Amino acid sequence: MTSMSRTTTDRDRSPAVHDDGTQPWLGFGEVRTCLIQNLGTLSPSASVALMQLTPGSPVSKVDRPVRRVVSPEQVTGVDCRLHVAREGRGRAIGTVLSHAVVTNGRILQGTAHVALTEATSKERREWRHYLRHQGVVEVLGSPSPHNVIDGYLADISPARGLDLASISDRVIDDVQQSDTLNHTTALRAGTAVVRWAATLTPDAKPTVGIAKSDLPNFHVIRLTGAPEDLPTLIRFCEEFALHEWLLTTVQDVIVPRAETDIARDRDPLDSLLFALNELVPLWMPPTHLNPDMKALWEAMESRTHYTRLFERQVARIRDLRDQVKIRPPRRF
Amino acid sequence: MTAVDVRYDEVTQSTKVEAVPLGHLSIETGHLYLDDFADGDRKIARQLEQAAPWLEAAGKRIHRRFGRNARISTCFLVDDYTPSSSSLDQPKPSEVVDIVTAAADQAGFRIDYLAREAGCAIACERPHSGPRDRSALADIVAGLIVEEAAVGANGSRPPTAQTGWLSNGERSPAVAVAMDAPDWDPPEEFGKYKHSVFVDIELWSVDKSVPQAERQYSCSLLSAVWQLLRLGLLRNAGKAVAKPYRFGSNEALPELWSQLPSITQLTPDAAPFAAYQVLSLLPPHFRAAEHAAEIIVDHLRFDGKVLKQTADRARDETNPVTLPDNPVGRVSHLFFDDVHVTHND
Repeated sequence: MTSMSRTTTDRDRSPAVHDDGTQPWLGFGEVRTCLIQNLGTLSPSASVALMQLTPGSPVSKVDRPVRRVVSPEQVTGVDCRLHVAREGRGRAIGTVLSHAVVTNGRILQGTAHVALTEATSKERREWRHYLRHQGVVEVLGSPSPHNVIDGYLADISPARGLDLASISDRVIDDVQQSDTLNHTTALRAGTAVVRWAATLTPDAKPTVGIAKSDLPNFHVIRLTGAPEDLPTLIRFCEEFALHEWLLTTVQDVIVPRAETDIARDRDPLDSLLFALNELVPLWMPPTHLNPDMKALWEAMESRTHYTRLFERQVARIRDLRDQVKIRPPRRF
Repeated sequence: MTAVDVRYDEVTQSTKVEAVPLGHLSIETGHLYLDDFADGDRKIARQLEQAAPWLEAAGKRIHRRFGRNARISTCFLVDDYTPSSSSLDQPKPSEVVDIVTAAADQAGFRIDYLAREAGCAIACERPHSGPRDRSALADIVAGLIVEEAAVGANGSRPPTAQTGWLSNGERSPAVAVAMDAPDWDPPEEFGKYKHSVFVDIELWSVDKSVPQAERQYSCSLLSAVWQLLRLGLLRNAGKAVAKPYRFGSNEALPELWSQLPSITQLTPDAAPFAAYQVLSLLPPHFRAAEHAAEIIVDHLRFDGKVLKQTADRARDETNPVTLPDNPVGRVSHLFFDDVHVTHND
């Protein structure tokens, strides 16, 4: 039998469960993934300095299997209407958490998340009450969870409900604007967005459903789990977002450009080597974290075959590299 | 074959929170600018003389409440942060320590700790401290501010605290000629009771004429830092900050205020500097800044571990103390009056 104990990698930053015992019934989040605007790889100490978004609050750093440096949580106050699909109304009051993640000094993620609970009062309470439960919004009104989830996942820009898109975007901007970066990248790659919503019910087993949106670089994930699974679900979505970005970047940017370059007799070696040296080593599914994460990830893999798809792209990159070596392009 | 359960944990994040010694009551007996010492002990003598009876009353009450062994300490804050009008004839730290000690003697009590306001902006743990024993406390506290959400705030706008202002309500919309505009909307305090008391607090300013100028923190923000230090609630990455420093008998005080530790312990057997309850006895002109400091503290996100550690420590006392959830509930003030009496009898 495997133990269900949590490892330290599930940092104890889970949204607070109310002291009066109110459990969250929904969890929402959004993850943006992009390259850090810096030509070279950031050193471990530079990554830690970059993630020091709140002075005096500890930055979390894990070195293996990939170096992952996480900023302290940022807290944003909200008091807004929920965007509810079909029928029903709800008002959300509380705080949203957001943080930045740097992986191997190359990839930057900005992520915002919030847990929804029932309101503890019929009216808005004093601000310090909400500050005691960081990362929780209390919902006034009783819209059906189903409609709240569909409304959130289908919201557009500018947001009509909780705007986790802007909050996660702002974390990215805060980091990218740092004076310590040189604001150039070795590769022109896009920002990918993952928006997720989790239904939380006591004793529920974690499940996951992923849908690729018609919008480019946009994925929607629906999850279920018990309220205490929320930190694992948040991390799952961050890991999915990272791997999805890697696959998309390699498949839609690196390989097609290299093929075009070769066809036009230009040298594609730089970006091929960048992919092999900098991106490929980042493919490291988070199955080591805990049994729930392993189960979630393996279930996801069995549907999507992401690792096999990625390996196929890596093989293609190696092929292209070898072709260039055998028959160098004329235009250097 | 049975599955083998293997765990691999990397502990990288300092999750430990250092505890600070706590007494029952910390009394701030006064607050002066460096310039106020220009004519010797006149101003401080007057402040301490006004403070003395309240100090005695507070002491009696604390002993009745918490028992004979209740721990009470006194402190005095010198403002060396506000630029002085005449930095040349500023009194030296050793001179001020002598004046303060003598004036307290005269008033009939002792001052246990001398603190300096610039040491609230940047904590210095020891004399002549370098970057390693310093913590940018004002930056840390400013970074903990979570401004209250206005109705309708859904996260799309950046927080205005980044501009250096914090308010306790919704600001009135900017209009060209406010009072003449037909659709002028008043500001509104969040959670007001019938009428608003709207306060907008400047947290810091930046001199735009100087390139790369540093933030000049306001008295309001530094007062918040000062109250939080006395409540024992500030940490830098889990480490205690601005611990009181006691000079050895052969150790001379530094010549410059900036070389002095944030908090200097003046008496040998003082009760802890930080306490469950803090009381400030102050001249009336500090009222606005103290109110602002309270609003700032009410908008901070505290580390739950620090709050719990303090609450647990209080509950473990011989006579258990239950602290309110809200740190502001541990702070009280008394403002002096400006009434002068000439004695002819």
